[in-house]
Formats: sequence, structure tokens, C-alpha cells
Amino acid sequence: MLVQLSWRNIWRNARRSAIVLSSIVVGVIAVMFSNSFSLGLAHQMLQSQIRLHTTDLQILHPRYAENPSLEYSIVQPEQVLARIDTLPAVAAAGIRLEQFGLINSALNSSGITIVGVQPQRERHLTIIAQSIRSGRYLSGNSYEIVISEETARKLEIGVGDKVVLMAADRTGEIRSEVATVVGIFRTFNSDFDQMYSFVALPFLRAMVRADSLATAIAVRIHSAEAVEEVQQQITPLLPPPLVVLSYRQLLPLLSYMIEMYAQLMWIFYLIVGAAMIFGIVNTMLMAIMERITEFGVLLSIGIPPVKLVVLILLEAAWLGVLGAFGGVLAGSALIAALQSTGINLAFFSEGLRSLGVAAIVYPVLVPQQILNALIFVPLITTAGALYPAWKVYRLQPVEALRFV
Amino acid sequence: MEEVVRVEKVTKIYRVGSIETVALREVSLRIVQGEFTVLAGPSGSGKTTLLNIIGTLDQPTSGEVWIGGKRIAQQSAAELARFRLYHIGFVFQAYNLIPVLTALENVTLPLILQGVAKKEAEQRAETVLEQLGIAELRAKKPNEMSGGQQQRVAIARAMVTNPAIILADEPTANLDSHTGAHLLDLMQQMNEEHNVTFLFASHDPQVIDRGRRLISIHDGAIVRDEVRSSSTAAS
Repeated sequence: MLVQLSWRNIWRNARRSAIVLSSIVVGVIAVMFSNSFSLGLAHQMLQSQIRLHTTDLQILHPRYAENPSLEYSIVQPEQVLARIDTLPAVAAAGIRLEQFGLINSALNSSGITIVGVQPQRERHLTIIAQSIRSGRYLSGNSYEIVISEETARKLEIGVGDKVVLMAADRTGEIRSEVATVVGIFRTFNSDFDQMYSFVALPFLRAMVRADSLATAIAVRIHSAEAVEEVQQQITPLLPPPLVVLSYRQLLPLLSYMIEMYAQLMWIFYLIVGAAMIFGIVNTMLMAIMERITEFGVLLSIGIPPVKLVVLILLEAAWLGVLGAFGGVLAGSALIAALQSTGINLAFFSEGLRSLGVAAIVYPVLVPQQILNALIFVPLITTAGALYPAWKVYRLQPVEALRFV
Repeated sequence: MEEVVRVEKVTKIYRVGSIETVALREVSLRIVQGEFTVLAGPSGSGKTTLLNIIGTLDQPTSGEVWIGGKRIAQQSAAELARFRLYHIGFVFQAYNLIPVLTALENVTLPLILQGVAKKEAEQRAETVLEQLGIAELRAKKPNEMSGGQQQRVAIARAMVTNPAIILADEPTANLDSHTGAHLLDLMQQMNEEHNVTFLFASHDPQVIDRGRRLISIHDGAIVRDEVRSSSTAAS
């Protein structure tokens, strides 16, 4: 009876209820959108890093991550790679040798990380081959280098020009080689572009006297959700002391950022929830002031005061449930639409490049957001009705009946 | 005759700041089953205050009240509500039906609150609506009914729980004389046929004329209490 009565009561003043519901719906949409956008941005930063260079998993010497020196390299990486290739979950894998060095043109020089890669394998690991703006990607021949637009601009060179690469070998002796720029790339991460240049693996091995060595084996897998599972499959295949690290371990800051954004949702909810509570308190106070005599009648008939409290709370809960459902439906529809088109932030593209994010951000909607809205919003509106309900609880029947 | 109401030396004093207003002065009365009693008196005489105290809606400053043999002492709001639910029916001047409920739902409401199953509650409510000749109003909401129809539904709501007494405060005040007379006929019929005990508070001559017992109140005190023969009381 109370459920039925409360449902009908909220439609007594349909316009007022519609206004309150609209404010709840807008609040839910705002929270869902801002949360989805933040999560989308964070996911995109993470995915960008994975697709640029990090890949899903990397096999490393355990000390290499903290001290990236040739001293902590992988010996006979081809044997390890052959084992990795046998795993069905692995989409691509490739050997890398990285060394800090200098790149010099006739006019300028720049500090870079020279990355020796297996071009045919690396094509399937990262997007560098697809990001070539002029020239071509590495063919596998020695004496070829692919540099970024930033580096080309700084060195004032273009495709076909020669550069001198300088780097220390395993013994610390400085080695140098001449290479020809065969391609210039540009990605959505300006920091990355300034830092990295790519050559064929044998060329760099020869240059830094690191035959049969690698600093990492990069692994891309078919399903990103299975990263921990594949990590466990790879671990027993590795000779000591090698380890396999997931992108979460390789990019801990970005992973924390995603968790932080998930937590931020609660702060959004607190802010929007506070506004909702004031709206509900106001609405419910108005609603009960209009019905004081009616509460007096109900008390006269013999309704227990606590049931009147339940009635008021149910009315507020209905508003919360309807508002939450409306907000979730509208918010999900909006986010779904934006998930297919993306949110074009071309206006901020340079700023986003420094963050390592493409100009189009795709919001991410997770079931937890929907669940949180459906639970949290009715709780907020019900909490907002506690004070009005308390006022009704304290009503004296005689005073309520006399109320005009 | 079974005693329904006993009021012993009830005094009610309202205090607003330092000002005291005595609404009832040591009022005593006794009402037995099947009585059709009118509390008459001018506005401010204390008749509504006495009705509210008998209805457990208000507490006396001193004195004691028994309803259906139960002493109404200092009880919690929930206990008093429960007592009213089972023992007292109310009819108000302004009908005071719940606007979002139909006539049948309004009449069913007290039974549902008593915990009666919905189907049984509806059957009992239907029976009362039929007794009062308003079964056709069952699906109508208060805003679709005339004042007289609403007041009849209010009487049905008061009667449906078979209370010890029905308290009616100025039940005809918002009705035209013809409708009021018809309503009084109905209550009188319920009183005669079903032995329902009624206590009215009214200064409407039409109601006063119908009372088979007339209690006159003036300045918070009973000044006259007369049982009238059926020839004296209009029918």
C-alpha cells in the first residue's frame, strides 16, 4: 500500500517532480560523461604507450628496468623468441636492442635512444611503421635510420640525408656509425618522437659490439584482457634471470592514473550528490507542507508515524530510482554515440600530443558506472528526504489537522 | 449497556507563552454502545477539544479517558495510532479523503493498516460501500466526487473497521442542507441498523436536532446533558 501510495504521490505535482527528475538525470549524465571521458583519456594514454613502444608484455633482465645498460641484456634472445612464438595467445613478438646515444647532422646534434629492431616483426608490434610521414620504414638493411619529425626539424635534415650515430659499447667505449635517413615518422606523442630513432637490429648490434644480445623482447598478445594469463604462460619458458613484465608493471604511473580516475568518480558523485540532496530536501519539504493536514488524517486513521516516515522516504527513493534510470539511459546513449564517433579535441591536439593522446578521445563506459548510479542516486535522494521525514514523524495529529 | 466512552474530570489547558487558556474544565461523561450523541456549543466552547481528547488525538492536562474499557494513559504516538486504528473512526468537516486513492482504496486503507489481506479488505470495504449506497463510486477519486459523496466515503472509511465509536467533527458544515440531511439520515440508519455509536461535535441545528442525546458545552464545561425521546429528536 505504501509503495503504491508513494508512487501516486510523486505524480500529484507532476511538473515539480519532472523538474526534480530532470535535475537528477542531468546530474547522472554529467557524472557518467565526465567519468567516461576521464577513463577514456587515461585508457587512451595507456593504449597509446602500449601501441607506441611498450607493447603488452616485455621480457627483460630484472635489473634492466631500473638500470638500462647493456650490462643487463638478454643473452641469446633468439632462443627465447622461438619459444614465445609457439604460444597461441601471442600475436607478435620481436627482439629489441636499445642504447642511449647522440645523433648528429652537419648542423646539429641531439640526444636520443637508438632502438635496434627486427623490422618485419616490429611492424606488427607498434604503430611506428604506420606513422611514417615521408620516406619509408626500415627494410632490414644496415645503415638505415628512421627518425621523427621533431628530430629531423632539430637536425635540419630530411629523407636521404646522412647522420652520424654515436653510442657507448659494452665496454664503455664510444662507437659511431653513419646512417641514411630513410623515413620520418610522427606519432601522437611528441615526447616519444623526440626521444626515439629506429635502426635494424644487426646494425645496432654491430655498432655497439653486442652480438647475440638484446635489451628486451616485446610481445603483443591477441586479447589485452589475458595479459596476466599470458604472462604466466611465458614465465616458465624464460631462462634465469629473465622476467616478463606486463604493461601495468612497465607503465605503473598510467595504471595508477586509471585507478585514480575510477576513484574520482566518487568525488564527482559527492559533488553532484550534495546538489541533489539540497534539491530533494527542498522538494520534499514543499511536498510535505502541502500535505500536513493529510498526514494528520492518516495519523487519525491510525497509521503509525514510522510508516509516514517510510512513505516520505519511498517517495524520495522513487525520484532517485526514476532519475537514476533516466540518467543512466540518457548517459549510456550519449556515451555510446560518442564511443563510435569519438570526441574530437583537435583544438587541443598539441597539448594532447604532449600527453601522448590522439586528438579524438573515445569515452569508456564500464558497468560499474551504471551500477554506481543505480545504487548511489536513490540512496542520495532517500538521504535527502530524512529531514523532511523527521519533521513528519514529529507531527502531532491535532496540530496537523488544524494546519492550514 | 456496554460502556464505550468514559471521561473523568478532564481538564485541558493550552499554554502559549505565559498565557493560559482553559479549553475544558473537569468534564465528565459516559457514552454507551449505540448512542447517537451530539456535543453542541458555540465556536470555542471546547467541543472539538473534547472530541479530540476522546479520539486520542490530544492529551488532557488532567483527568482520565477510557475507550471501550481501555484507559488512555500516557502512551507513545505509535501506541495511540494503533489504538485509533482498531477502536475509533473519524469523520471530518472537510471529508479529508486521500486524494490519490480511489473511494475503495480510501475505505480499504485502515484495514490494510490493520494487516488485513488485500482481497478480504476489499470485500469488507465493498460491503460498507454498498450499505451506504455508494458502491458505484468505488473506482472514483475524491476530485471526481461531490462533497456529499466524499463525506459518505469518509463515513465508510470510519465504519469499515467496526470501531467502538465514530467521532464526527462538524460533518455537515461543508455541505448544503439537503445533502447534510441526507448524510445524517445515513448515519442514523447505520446507528439504528448496525448499532454504530456516533459522537458528533457540531453547532449545526440540523445535527443538534437529530441527536438522541444532546450534551451542551459552554466555556469548557458541560452545562446540559439530556437524553431525548425519539419524538423530541428529529428523524
